[in-house]
Amino acid sequence: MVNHVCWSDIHMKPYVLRAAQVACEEYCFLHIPEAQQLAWLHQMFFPEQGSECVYLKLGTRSYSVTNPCFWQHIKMMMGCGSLMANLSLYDNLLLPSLYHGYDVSSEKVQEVIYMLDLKDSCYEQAGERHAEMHARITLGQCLLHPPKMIVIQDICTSLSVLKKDLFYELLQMTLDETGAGLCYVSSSESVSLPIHFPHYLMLEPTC
Amino acid sequence: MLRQAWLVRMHRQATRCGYLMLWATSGLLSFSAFLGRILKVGIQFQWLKRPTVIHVLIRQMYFTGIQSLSWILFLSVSVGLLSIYSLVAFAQTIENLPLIGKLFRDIFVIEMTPILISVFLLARSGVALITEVGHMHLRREHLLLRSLGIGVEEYLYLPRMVAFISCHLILCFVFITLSLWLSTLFISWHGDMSAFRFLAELRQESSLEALLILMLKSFLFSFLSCGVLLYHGSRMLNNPNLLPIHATYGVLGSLMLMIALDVMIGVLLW
Repeated sequence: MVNHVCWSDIHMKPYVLRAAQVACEEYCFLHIPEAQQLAWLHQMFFPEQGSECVYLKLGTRSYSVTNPCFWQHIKMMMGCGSLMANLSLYDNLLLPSLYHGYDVSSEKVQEVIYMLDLKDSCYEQAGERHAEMHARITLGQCLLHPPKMIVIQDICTSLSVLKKDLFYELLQMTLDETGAGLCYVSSSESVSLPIHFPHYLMLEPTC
Repeated sequence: MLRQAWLVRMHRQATRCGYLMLWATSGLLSFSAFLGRILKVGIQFQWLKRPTVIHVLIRQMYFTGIQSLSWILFLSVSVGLLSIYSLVAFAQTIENLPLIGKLFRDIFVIEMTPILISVFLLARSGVALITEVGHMHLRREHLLLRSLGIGVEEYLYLPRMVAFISCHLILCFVFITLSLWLSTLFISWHGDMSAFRFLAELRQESSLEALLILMLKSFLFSFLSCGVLLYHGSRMLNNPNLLPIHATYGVLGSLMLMIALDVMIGVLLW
């Protein structure tokens, strides 16, 4: 059974993102200029009550973005906005699992900490961190509770070449292990990740 | 001509009044909706099952309650002891010792303690609260929480409000107990009156009604002031320069609201 993320037309003046649907296991590239990304983020994922335009279709069931079930299957990586500053990195990693009561074994947590190379720093307070740490923690959360799709907002532009390679390795490992789809949102027309995106979507100017 | 100018001026003032009324009404409605959302989450009691929310609650209780104890001791020695001693001295001056219990109940317990603890908590924890919540909104941590399927009201606001209210009540009792104990020691040491007589006078006028009024005031003051602080913190959007402005408005608004409430309760009880 194929699961889909679908959305209706999303207007971000002077552009519009046309209605589309992406299978949860697929990789999709979304080219959105930087100036429109915040509006896209708000309209698509954090809309006002009653103006939802994104749905997750799991078989015959459909979940709107305001339904907590939606967020159990869709994982967001919002640039440098994926860490709670006043929690430790360990608490950040376990935050969704503890809140929702997911069954996660301590062996699995230790394994993920080892994979993310967080052994020495996991009890440090998050505070202000580089985008790479935000990415690592988000991918760690994906490994602890696999989502159907990972949405990444333009992370590679703020990473050095070395860190980009490390991020790619970790991302590829996470995608392989979880079987999740990927929706990469970028202001560049292409992203220097060795991932093939069969779907390429971009904004269209409004008439 | 003069009449026309006067009419234009009156029209302008009416428009300004209208805008002010609309602004106040929409602000009040928005604040009520904000408090309503927190209360709704609170009375569902799902938060008690969530370790992450309890973790925030414990941290807030430690910060607002435990770390404030040394300051409460200082307040008891300075303000509490002095005011009780002044009440006793006043009653002795007019040679009406049975007045001690009444003054202690009406002035110290019902009037002074809730306001004093509220002002102290506003100055110490209130500013920290509004700054922390404001910073979280600036860093878009509320969006992160929503993207994790975590209720912002449940995780960010509710534990802070519960901690603020419960610590306010506990600190009121700690302040009264410490002040009473210290003043009893001081009065008996000073030789103005025996400790037994002093406590007997207080006991004579003590009532459950006074205790209930203290608890009601403590609850209302802390609930509304914390609500105002969280509301102002949650309105921080993209501009970090607005943080001190919101912090000032939040603390001042809470203080004014508490004073207005105190007057209203006083009038109602009278």
